[in-house]
Amino acid sequence: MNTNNTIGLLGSFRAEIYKYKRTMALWLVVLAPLIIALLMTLVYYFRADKILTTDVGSMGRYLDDSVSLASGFFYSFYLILLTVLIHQVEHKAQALKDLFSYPVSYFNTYTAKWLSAFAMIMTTLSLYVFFSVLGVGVIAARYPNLMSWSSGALWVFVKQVTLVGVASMFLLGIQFVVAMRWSNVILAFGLGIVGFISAVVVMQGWEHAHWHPYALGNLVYYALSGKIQVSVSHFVTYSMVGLLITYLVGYVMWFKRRIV
Amino acid sequence: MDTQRSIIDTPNLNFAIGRTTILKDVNLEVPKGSIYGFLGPNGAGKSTLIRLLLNLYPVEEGKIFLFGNDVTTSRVGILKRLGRYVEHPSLYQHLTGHENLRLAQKYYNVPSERVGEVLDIVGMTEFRHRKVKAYSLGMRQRIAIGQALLHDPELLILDEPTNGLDPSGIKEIRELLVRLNREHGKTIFISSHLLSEIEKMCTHVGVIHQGAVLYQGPLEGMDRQAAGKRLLVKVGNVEHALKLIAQQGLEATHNLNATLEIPITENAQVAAINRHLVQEGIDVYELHQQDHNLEEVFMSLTNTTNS
Repeated sequence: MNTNNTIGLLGSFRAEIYKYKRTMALWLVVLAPLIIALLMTLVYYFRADKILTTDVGSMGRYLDDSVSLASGFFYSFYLILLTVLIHQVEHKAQALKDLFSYPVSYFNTYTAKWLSAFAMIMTTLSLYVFFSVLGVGVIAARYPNLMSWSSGALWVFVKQVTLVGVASMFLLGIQFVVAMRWSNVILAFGLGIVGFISAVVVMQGWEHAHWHPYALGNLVYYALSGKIQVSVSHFVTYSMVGLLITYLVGYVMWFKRRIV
Repeated sequence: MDTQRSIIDTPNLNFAIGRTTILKDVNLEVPKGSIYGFLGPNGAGKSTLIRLLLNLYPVEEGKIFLFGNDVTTSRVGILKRLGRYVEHPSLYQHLTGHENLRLAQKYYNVPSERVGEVLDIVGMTEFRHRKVKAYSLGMRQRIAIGQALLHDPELLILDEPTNGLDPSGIKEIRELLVRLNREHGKTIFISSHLLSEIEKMCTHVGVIHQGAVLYQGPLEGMDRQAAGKRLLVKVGNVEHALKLIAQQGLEATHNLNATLEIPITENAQVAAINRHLVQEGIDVYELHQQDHNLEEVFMSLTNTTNS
């Protein structure tokens, strides 16, 4: 990539991030991890004495319960909602004709959109880890005998969160492309909900459920916990290949688009 | 340094969507330094041509050269040198006018100080911190034109920038464009169906109808090409005068004020008509030569095609 291209990509990325100022997409980035961490904190704040019996492994248990909740339902919906909100900013302003007539290559404007989505997701996941650790602190203050700090538990948690994030990239790719191509919110949401429900159904016992793009985030958590016998690397590889394919399909759509 | 005279050149440009032909053999030539008015009724193909110039549609048949470069192979380089406004302002409503310009400034990679300069040029400094959703249409249009000016382009391509504005808004935009042309040396390509606006500000005109360019060239050459001039003659005896005019092989019409309207092609006819009428005893009270206005010429051109 030459210097001009790098400058074009950086400028596009900065513009993408700037346009989400005061939007629901940006609020979602902050509020989603806050809500999950807050829910967990509230549950343990009032019921930790019934859930935990000793402080041994308590932080690991707390964080594992949190990631179980997040990976099962919330994270999929977060991605579905985020992709819709990101692209609705463009659709609502009918700004594609402007975006396509800036002196920036199609590759840069397109890739900048992906990068801004990745940046938002990484921010959400980082905030989720941060808020969860704060939650541990709150519970430890309330129940000093039942909650103790464990660096090992934190690293397991970070690994879980990272792998759930990576394994959900195929889902992200599908939702991103659909929300980008069609301005109809119902279509993107509808597809997301159908994908999510079908994933829940196949996870009930279908032996090939680990090939369902919308089930990967949830199943990688099970694989990490040893609840299913599928290698973690399958989820990472399959999801990244899916992401690459959706990225390329999206690029062809972007490049071939006629701006009416 | 560019040495080409035409800043936009579209040799043998054709375009169709499905089986519908939108543009037929369009050979546009826009001189550098001009304000080129691109006139045509709704559906004539103006917006399609502008989208082709900006490479928003792929060129299928023919070529498009801007600044002497092919738009399909030098897209980014060309877009760096032009500013555009396509059909209506596409602004982010949740951002202020200033923020919308800041956003465009990042795409154009120009210093942020340029935003303030542009706000001054388009007269929006006072309202820069209001959200766009609180703006009137005219204010939005000015911010959108400001976006087009951010990187100080040599060429402005504007698709109906006065659409939907009230007369004072139209006047403001017109004055802004004339100032940009005269004081900042911008070449301006502006499409419109408002003939009177084109007439007031453009140096060159192109008329498109049903996808074909019927005329292009200097504004003053258009009336000569189309319908010439007319002579208004106020006379005493209208019926007799009409007969005398007919004897000279001319077709005259008259209105209730006893004024004859006679199409002419040259000044010598004025003297000849006057002489003939006076010699035949007709009282001539007033002689007035009038150019056809652009609207009449435009109607004449487009009606010729329809028939």
